[in-house]
Amino acid sequence: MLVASLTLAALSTSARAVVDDSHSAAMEAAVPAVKLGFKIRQEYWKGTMKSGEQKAVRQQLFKGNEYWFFLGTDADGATLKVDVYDSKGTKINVETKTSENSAAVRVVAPATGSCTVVFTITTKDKEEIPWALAYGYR
Amino acid sequence: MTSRPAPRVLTVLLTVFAFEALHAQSPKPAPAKPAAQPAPAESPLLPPDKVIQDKGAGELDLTQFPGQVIGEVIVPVPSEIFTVLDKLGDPDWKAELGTSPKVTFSERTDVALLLGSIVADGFIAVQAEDRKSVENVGRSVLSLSKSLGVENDVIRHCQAITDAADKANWDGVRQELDATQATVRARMAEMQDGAAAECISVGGWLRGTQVITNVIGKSYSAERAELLFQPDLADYFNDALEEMLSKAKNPDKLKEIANGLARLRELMDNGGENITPAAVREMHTLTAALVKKIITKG
Repeated sequence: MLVASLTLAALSTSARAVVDDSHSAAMEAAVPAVKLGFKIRQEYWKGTMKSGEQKAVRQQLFKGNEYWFFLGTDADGATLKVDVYDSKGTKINVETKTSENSAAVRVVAPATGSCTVVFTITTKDKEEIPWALAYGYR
Repeated sequence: MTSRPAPRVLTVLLTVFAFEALHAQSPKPAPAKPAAQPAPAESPLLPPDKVIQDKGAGELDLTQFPGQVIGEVIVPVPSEIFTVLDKLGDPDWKAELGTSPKVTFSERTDVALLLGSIVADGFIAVQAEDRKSVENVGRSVLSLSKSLGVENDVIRHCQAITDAADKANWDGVRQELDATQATVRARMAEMQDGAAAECISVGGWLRGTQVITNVIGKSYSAERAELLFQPDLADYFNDALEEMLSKAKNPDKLKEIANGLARLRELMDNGGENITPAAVREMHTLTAALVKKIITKG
């Protein structure tokens, strides 16, 4: 019975399975952090944006934790930028990593409370740029 | 957004999540020291990435932000706070384990609230490294998912939860609990049932807060109590529930939870002052009452 249910579940999942390339780019950037013990959240933000447009998300941080935020896109030749600000508008990221299709920033939460993650993607020729933003903590 | 079947990216995702799971099979790692500022040499980054040590000092006027602030909130999982509490002491997580509620609901928001609280129980069971409780959580999650019509999406996670618990792979269980919640919320959104999706988060957050306030109340310090500074989340949930009230078949329960969230918000904010022991106690009493409402009928 369980085997039958699992088979059905697997079939229904694979029939729907599509991969978000922007999220995959973000996850590729996350691999080194995972090796250092960061736990990557399964939920993530995603959408599309115009080149040079600024977007932001708000996220609760806990003092005592360290975070990485990973931004990914599947657009070619893109320049990505991410910064994290505390509730007073002070930048709190301590390290930035950029590579093709991704950018990541590390934050050591200075206090418990909400932060704002601001990001932009710049490209030469893509009208609507897909993006995905994930985070991990330890 | 571009989406396509792609073996390479699947490999990356599997690598990330499998690495977490594999590395969790050993006993608990030594707690990471918070607030350390590693030097560039300690960076986990590999070439050819470009790495910059940020100097900080940047300023942003959040009231004049020129772009779009995305409304979607990703609610922290209880483990994000549990890990800090573990760094600050050695809480007795076994004492926080709940009993599996044996109750059935017909209203979808009621089922979703219960599902959220059960998933939070799973995170507590992981913290307590209690295999039996984790397996009970897996069974309850599957049963509730059936009520929501998403059993086929969740069954693989439930099996993975049980398998990981059998191997005492606690990080693996944690990852699957997070994945379960994410999968159900995503399916609820696909089914145009945003109310149920939000209720899963509300149930989980309230159960997590109930436990956290109990742990902090047993060994109070201002530093621990600061972890309860989450007024934006209380606000967000309160707004979401208020929006559901007009369409809800059982508005009394949602209204009671919304009122409780409004009071929690006041206690969590406290005008920028430290959260007092009395406020922690009131938060615990309040969340315990709301969770009781979620896991019982009537």
